[in-house]
Amino acid sequence: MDTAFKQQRLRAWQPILTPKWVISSFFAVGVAFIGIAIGILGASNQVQELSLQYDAKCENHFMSWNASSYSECILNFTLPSNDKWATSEVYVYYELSNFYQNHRQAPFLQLNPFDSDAFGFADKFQDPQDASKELYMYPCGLVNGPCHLLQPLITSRRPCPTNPSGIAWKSDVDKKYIAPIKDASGLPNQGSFFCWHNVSDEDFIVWMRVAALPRFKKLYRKIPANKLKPGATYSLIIQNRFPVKDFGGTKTFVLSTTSWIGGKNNFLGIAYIVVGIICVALAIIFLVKHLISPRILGDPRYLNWK
Amino acid sequence: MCIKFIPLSLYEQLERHTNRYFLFIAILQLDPHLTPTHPATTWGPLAIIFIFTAIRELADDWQRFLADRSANSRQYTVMSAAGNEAKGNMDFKKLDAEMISVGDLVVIRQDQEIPCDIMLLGTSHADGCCFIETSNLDGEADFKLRRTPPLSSTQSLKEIKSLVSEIDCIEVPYDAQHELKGMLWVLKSKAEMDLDVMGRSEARHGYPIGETQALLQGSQLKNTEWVCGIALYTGNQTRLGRSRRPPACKRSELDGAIDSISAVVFVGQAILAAILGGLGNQWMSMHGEGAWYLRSAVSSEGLSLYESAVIPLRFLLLMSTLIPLSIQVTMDTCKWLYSMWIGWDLGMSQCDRVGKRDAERGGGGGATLRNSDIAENLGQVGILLSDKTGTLTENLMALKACSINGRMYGEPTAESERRKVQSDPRLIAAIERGDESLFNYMRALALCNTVATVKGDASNKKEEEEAANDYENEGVVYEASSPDEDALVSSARALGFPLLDRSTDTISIRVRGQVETYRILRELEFSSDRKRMSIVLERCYDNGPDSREKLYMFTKGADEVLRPLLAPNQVGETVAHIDDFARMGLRTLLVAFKRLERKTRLSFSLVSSLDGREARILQAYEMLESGMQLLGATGIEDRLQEGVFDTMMSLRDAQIKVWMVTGDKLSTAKQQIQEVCSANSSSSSGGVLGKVNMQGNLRHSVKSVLNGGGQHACGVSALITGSCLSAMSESQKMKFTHCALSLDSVVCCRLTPDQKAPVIASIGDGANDVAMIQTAHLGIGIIGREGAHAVRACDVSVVYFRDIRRLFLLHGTFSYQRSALIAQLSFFKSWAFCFGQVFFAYFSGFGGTSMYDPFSIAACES
Repeated sequence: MDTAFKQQRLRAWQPILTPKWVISSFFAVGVAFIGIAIGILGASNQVQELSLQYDAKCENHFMSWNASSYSECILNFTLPSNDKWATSEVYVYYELSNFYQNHRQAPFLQLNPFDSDAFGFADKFQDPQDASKELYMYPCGLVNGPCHLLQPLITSRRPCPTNPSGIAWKSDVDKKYIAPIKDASGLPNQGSFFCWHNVSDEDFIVWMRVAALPRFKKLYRKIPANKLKPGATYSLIIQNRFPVKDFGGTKTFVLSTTSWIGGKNNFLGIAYIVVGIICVALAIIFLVKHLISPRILGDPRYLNWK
Repeated sequence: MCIKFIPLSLYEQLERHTNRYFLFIAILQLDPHLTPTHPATTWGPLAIIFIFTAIRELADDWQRFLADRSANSRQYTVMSAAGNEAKGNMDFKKLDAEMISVGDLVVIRQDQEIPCDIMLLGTSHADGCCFIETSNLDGEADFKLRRTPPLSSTQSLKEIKSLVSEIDCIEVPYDAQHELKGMLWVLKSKAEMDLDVMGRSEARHGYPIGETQALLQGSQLKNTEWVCGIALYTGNQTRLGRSRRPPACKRSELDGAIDSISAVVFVGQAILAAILGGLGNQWMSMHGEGAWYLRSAVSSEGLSLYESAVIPLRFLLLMSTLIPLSIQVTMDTCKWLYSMWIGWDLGMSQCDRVGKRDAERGGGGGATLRNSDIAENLGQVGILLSDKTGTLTENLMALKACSINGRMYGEPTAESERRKVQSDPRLIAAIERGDESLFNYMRALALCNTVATVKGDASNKKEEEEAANDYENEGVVYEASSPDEDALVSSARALGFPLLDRSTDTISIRVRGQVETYRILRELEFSSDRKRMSIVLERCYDNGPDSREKLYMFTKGADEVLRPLLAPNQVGETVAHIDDFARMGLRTLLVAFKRLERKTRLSFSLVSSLDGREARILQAYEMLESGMQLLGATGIEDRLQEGVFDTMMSLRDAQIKVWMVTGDKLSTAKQQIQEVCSANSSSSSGGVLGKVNMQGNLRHSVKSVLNGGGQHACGVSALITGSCLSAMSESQKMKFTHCALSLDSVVCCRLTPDQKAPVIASIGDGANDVAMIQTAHLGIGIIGREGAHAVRACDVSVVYFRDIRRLFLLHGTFSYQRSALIAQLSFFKSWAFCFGQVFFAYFSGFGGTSMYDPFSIAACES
């Protein structure tokens, strides 16, 4: 009966927010944040990034996704002369903007493409080739088309591996896109119904991993270190098949190195700086206020609010 | 039972607004076009909450079922009423309690519980008496006497049973638990019919039956080998069954606040959903055409009504986490923990104390939170209505002073702590001198009461105390139903006038070494309306009753009711003494007696009509009690409990207003409040409203009191009497309440129980405080000497008044702050979670996509 818990005598720490306490903690947090920001911005600045927006440039070479003949749009670019390009692994991305992959009505949002019972309904959407025809994506409800439209997005002659391996999440490759084997009667896989089983195409898997924002980069290939020469000129051969003009989007080709914070991203560093500066500023304001007119701690007069 | 349980449980849970809301959300989620998340995110937690509550209820029900079964399957010897005559078998057989039906003749053995309401017909005692203990009903542990109707005792029970033709019972008000009124009609036996040569009277006898003939369900038979009687009411028609009312549903202020905040949040949620949904539809109509990858909802003729409703509804579902689903369960768990902490608190527990009194009061326990729903209210008490006797005071009475024949004995001063009247040498000397009126006074004290005597039962704990007091106690222990009587009888004993024995019809006392035996002719019992009791006695001598000797009637009662009944020119000094006593905070009683002529008609009971019997009896009583001779007055002290003063100080510091509600005399109350409230206000200007009876003056005096209060700024106390309160009209009551709320303390005195109710936390110990306790937002019961009524009706029970300081200021504050923090955290968590969704809506084309996966949502909601 006479235990610390039962008699509510457990030790607890309930700091009284005295000016000293508040000012010093604001100051400490501010300084710490600015320190972190400097680190992040430094790392971000170390990252080399090269982007080439090509949708306008290759507009003349646009063709339908299922057209058998195609013309290649060739873009030349020079790699900046920075050793990073040579010494580290280089990531190749394709970037889309104004593409709402995360929209409720976009057909990517199945929780699990093979979990047909998840909601118990089949997706229905228009065939991009033929608006009059409706495709039932059952049970996976996936968009095959756009993925394949993106497939020939870029090709590069020598340094870039053609095989897309190691670009998708391991769990997606190992678990999510391995379909359970179902009996033939269970899944209608004919006519306007078709379904994906045992997908191993990592480009497809990456494409299906829904982007959080309407402007997003997706990993396309990884170029191992020492394959690219800084300062050299490369050509990018593009089959321009993915229509972005309809929804006002852009297509960009991105080459980037990485650091411990990932790709080039100044947002996080700036956010840290802003918060840090606000904290330090508050600390200073409170300090000045405290020095000019200090407030008596625990004065019951402050309780009179009526 | 099972079939009924599930729907009933569901229905009950859906009475709560939040549960209904979540069910609505869960149903909406079933539509795959709407749901942004997996339906399981709501159904899962909702099911857990429902199951959790249902299991708790089921456990309660199961307990109740077991208790019912054990009560229903108790074995009683019963002679069944139905069909016996026809078959001619009039045998007793063993039956389960639930098989007893109205009209059965039931036999109850010693220490058995009474299975239904029974009218007594016969007992093992030759005089037709039996004793019952009603602690299950009202917590009173003293034995109560019950007797059979005056049937001819020569007939056997079976004969009587066959002769009983009809029992009329008057329905009594809902809450009059102990009352029973009726007539018993018994057919005259053959022999009697023959005797009745005139043949003009009815073929049956009528006997009035009342409380004294009734064995109510729930009480226990004591000190009597067996009794038998006819079942009058069974099942839910019994007094106990009918008094069983659904517990008053009380909710804490905080719960109310959470409810109204939830309602506001829901409105906000609906508005937010409408705005975001509108933006979503707008976005679709603008971009839907171009965004070929979307399953377009835009047809040539624009959005259909259904389609345009889809996006707003999706947002409504997305925002459903704004109202935290888990808050109820979390709060319930916390409340349960608070109640445990209150029970565990050693600061309010009497475990460490030894001594009979504490054991008797708390049973070794401490405070108990019986209704954990209102735990937070403990920290929000603004006004405390307090009963006086037994709550602020010990309810351990001692006769401190008396006024006999115009002379005051004992020192009714506050200083003479613990000195009783029997230690006053003047009184002892007066007794030595042998003053007859003094003797009569002492006789009155010893005789005019309802104290039962129990002969030497050494194991009885009560006796230990008595024995410890070095009185000449003759091995007799008194079982008094009220502490006042105990005090009076004990004082009489200490002064050499001991009550030796009391049976159902005789009392013997010793006066100056001589045993005097009296036959009880009539008891005019005490009631809260009459405020007095009388007893009519006949002196018995060894050589039989002396017919020349007159009858004696002794009366004791409140002074304002007795005074008009006295013979003229009686009062004089005594009145002054009474006022003195009252000023000292003593409870006063007048003692009077009267000699009656032998021919005085005493049997009012044989009034054969049922209607208005009560009133006629009262009238008869009053007739009898008029013209009495005043013997003196008693001043009984009821000491304040330990720590009351400090508690009052603390409550005052916490700005809790204390209103005292008492049944005492105005001046007694005034003294008491000065004693109590001098803590509260050094500059107390006690405005007394009590003397104001003119309605017009009331407002004026309230105003003047208030003005007085304005000058003194603080510490205004008001006293108001019951007669004044009942004279007020509704609007005046409002006005009074308004005025009273601005006062610091209010004393309400001479209130009858139902007046106590209309006047917030209330604390009390007796049956008369139940209405007040049930009506208050927070009812506190003191485990006291007046029985378990208050404790059963209360939300929190404590042992002493001083415990409420810890209860309010420690546990109350903790509970309130903790619950408030948890509620705030719950809402903060849900809102923080939800605003992510709102901002994400901007980046996902206002389509109603959830930013989180279902698992995270479910985890965050619960």
